[in-house]
Amino acid sequence: MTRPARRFTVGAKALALAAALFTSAGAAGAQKGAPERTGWVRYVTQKRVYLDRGAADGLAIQQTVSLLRGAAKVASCQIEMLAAHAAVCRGSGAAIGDRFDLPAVGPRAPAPAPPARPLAVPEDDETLARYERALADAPHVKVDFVSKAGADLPPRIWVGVDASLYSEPGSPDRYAYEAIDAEIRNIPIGSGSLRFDTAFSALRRQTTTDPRFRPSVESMFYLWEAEITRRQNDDRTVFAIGRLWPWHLPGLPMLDGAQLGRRNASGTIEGGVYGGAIPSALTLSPIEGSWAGGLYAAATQGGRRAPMFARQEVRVGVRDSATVGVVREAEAVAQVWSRPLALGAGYRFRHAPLVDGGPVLELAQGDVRFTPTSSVRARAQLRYLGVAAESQPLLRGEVQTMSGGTYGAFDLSWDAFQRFGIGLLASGHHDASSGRDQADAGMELRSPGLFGDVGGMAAGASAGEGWMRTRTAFVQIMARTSRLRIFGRVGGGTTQFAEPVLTPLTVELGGNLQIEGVLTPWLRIVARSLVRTPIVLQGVIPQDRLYGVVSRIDLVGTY
Amino acid sequence: MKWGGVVVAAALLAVAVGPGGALAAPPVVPRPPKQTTSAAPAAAAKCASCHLETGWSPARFDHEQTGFPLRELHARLPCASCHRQDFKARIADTCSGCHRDRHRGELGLHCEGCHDEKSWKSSLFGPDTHRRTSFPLSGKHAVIPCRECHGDLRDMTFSRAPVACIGCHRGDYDAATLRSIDHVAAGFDANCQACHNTWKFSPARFEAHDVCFILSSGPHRPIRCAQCHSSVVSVPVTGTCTSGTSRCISCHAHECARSDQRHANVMGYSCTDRKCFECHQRTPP
Repeated sequence: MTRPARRFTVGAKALALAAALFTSAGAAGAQKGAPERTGWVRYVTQKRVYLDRGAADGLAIQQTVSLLRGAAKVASCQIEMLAAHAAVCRGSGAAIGDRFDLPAVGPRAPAPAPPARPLAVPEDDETLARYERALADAPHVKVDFVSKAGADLPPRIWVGVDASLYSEPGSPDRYAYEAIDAEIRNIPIGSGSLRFDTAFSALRRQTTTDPRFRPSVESMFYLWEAEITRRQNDDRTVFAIGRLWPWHLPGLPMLDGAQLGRRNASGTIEGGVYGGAIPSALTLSPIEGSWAGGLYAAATQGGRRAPMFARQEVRVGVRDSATVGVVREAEAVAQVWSRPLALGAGYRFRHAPLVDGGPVLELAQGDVRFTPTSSVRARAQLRYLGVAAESQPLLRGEVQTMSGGTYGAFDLSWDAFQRFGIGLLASGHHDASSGRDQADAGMELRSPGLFGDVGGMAAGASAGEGWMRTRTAFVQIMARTSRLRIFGRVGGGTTQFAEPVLTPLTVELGGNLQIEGVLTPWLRIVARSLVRTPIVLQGVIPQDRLYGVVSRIDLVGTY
Repeated sequence: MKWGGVVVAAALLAVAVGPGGALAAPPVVPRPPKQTTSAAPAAAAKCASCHLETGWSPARFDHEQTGFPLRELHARLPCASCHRQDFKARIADTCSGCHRDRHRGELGLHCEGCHDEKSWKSSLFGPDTHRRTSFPLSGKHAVIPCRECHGDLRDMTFSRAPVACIGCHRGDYDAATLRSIDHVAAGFDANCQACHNTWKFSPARFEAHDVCFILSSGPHRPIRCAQCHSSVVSVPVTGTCTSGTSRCISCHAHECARSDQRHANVMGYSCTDRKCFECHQRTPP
């Protein structure tokens, strides 16, 4: 019996989902009855393939194994380690689930072993004690596993070069930019536990019209992070200095300064201080910002016998604001994981004496994730954003927005079958500054494995009500090979302003395409494009040809 | 971006024919067949499920069995970077359990809705996802960079961007005096969407104008205010159709002598702009 081919024709599979499910069931049934002379790839790394057959099945050291996917040979590898029923094979290009045929007669196949029989169950403690003594007296040296890799994160360099073009054919307006993004992580400094991390973006923008919102500067450099840290697993005293992306400081994502903390022996409790300048929100310039300082604490609870894992972070501090003076803040986050539940909550209080009569709740949030089975996942989120003490940075022409809103979302995902899943999405939002409400609900049908190893597809629709009425629908496909991934999505929708007056429908069509290719194990290219066009514009067919195009190419190198 | 297509084509060609490596882990992989029950003692079977007799390392483990498949960058990490104590101690299985939050915690604790395991830089949040916020993206809003509206680069909370059009387009409202008509003097309020669409400011939809002269359909729909009105600065929108500033002849070059002959039998005719549009609202001459 042979395994059914995985490369289905797209047309046949797209005809009916029921056919896919039937095929899936058939595949599963066929797999159960797979012949004994077939082995499987259980795990892969970049250079090695792990097989579930070994010397007892006829494999030998240095033997070349051909790996098959469906009927096609996709890779080969050479066995370098061999156990009785497992083997490590050197090679690349394979994927989990690939199979290989065992030789009819192994080159060094051992004689058929008699059927294995389970050991007899010891009947008394004396027998067990005798076994234990025998093991202890056995003349061999026991070894413990010590990972050569250790627990430290490996160094990593990520560089992305992208060019984007926003254009509207038929219009002289053009907007384009090129950027280089880079992340350099965990670079050791010396032989100790000091590490260097940095992330930055260099951006050049070209526009044929006056920039409407951003500063009218063509070239910008954003330094997201540049810090020297001492925070390895065994470090009791931890610190960071530079432009920080701080640890355990909820509500403080960027700081030009230092963070110093001390951990307990088990690393489950940490407390410390922080201080420095807050960079400018609009340019990240360190000159225009204000300062901040305070205390923090973090703790985790868990262990082998603990029914849950939990962590908490608390920050108490003050910061200086150019517009409202000193602002006192207290923020905390608590999270608990205990299957099937994951809970999270956080809040932020602030007191700015110049504008607040007392402590003000600026942020409150709660998250719940419920996964009763491996195929069902439900998630709910609530978020309250109170009135801000100071306005967000003013973009060009932007009106100050200080009041927040309330947001709630609920997602339900059910992978009903091996190749078919359904998702329900709902959300609601109340904007406090404008008083406007908006709600959205939708459904998605997903079959990521509809075409077997080649890919799958999904489709969905949604409806929104509130100050803007929306109706959308989409179909998307995902295709993949060993070196290419393609994602395509087409969709359309209607929008209609319901406030202050109900306006006629605007109907838009659009789609996006993303192609990702792996050039080498450390270099890949991602090209993506988004196109949108209105076919009805507020109730009438537009006389001008209108559409917007966003194209972007990323050349991403990762070391 | 002529070179963009060349780069893409060259890259795809290189991918197709070159000896490039494999993607680290496809999003969905078929599960391998379950191992048959071993007759070996339980402890030995447990070791053998990860280790080989040739040495403790390299070890193998199908992490997908845990419900947390290791993909992309996660697949490169040493086990102990997440499992600090041992493999039996419970740990977090959401992003926020291990990672710092650029968004100040304001976007919740689950990052996977917008990010994947390749890089924080690549976000899955696009125009279609934006409909779940208070501001569904339509028109040009779907094809401009996020930073054009969400300005705080420090924390990227994306939370307090204005919802009302005027929140971002106050400058355009004020500049309309120079570009077309003075919206304040003309009495237009700040509810931009009543007249304008999200693709282009012009032509605008001005339904109230149909009472006087139909612009919502027909050949006059695409014309701009200043093409007919010599001045709209002092024309409040009252619905009385008495602006006194509209000029049909700015587009329709009638000679009164010729027009007088054609309308000799029309009651109340006179060669004035107002008389033109009183009769020719729907069937322009």
